[in-house]
Amino acid sequence: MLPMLLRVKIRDEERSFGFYLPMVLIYLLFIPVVLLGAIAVAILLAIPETSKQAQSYLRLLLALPSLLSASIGTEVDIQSDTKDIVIRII
Amino acid sequence: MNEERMRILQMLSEGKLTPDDAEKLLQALEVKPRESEVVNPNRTMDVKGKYLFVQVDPKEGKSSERVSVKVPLALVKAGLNITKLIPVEAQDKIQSSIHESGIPFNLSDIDPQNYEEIMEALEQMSIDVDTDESTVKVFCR
Repeated sequence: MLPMLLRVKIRDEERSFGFYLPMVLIYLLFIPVVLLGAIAVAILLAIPETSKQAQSYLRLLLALPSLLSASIGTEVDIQSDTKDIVIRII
Repeated sequence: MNEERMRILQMLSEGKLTPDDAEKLLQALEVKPRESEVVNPNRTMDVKGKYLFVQVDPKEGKSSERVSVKVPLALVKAGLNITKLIPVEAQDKIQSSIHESGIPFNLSDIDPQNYEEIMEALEQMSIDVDTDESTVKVFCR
């Protein structure tokens, strides 16, 4: 399962705010890129000279979602006297 | 001597088993631990719920920034798995960049057999770096 939410929390001396960013919005933004990429890979696969190279890049691209899904649970927490920043992938 | 072995010997003494049958059963018992040894390395590869922590704590009177990073071990494992999918020509470029940076590391050294060793070593790893400014801890939990 791909990460669904990105939790960002920022606190400084004056104010504190946090938000949950639905990752679906980011995935939606990437749809045109994925579509264009799919067309480019399809063309490269159809050309005999480049098909082998395209296959290896395609395998790599297909493995990227697994990397994204494995990132669930990642947390970065930076605290200082004046500022706190917390980023969580949920 | 374990219970199963004792029971086999007892059945042999009672005449419920022939010496041949007893020998076969005892041999089967000896094989069992070897099978479990084969399964155990796979168990160490189960990284669900395990995290790699990097914590930087400042020393008193020094920089006040405290950093804590928690990375799922599954992400490290997925990253290692992806390295074998990197096309050869791209690997060459990455390799030359690594060498230019002065890091004595070969991507080709990472093979599937090493993944298990790396993950196992990571799970047991604990690094403490103590400097004048801060302490850095890297560990898995």
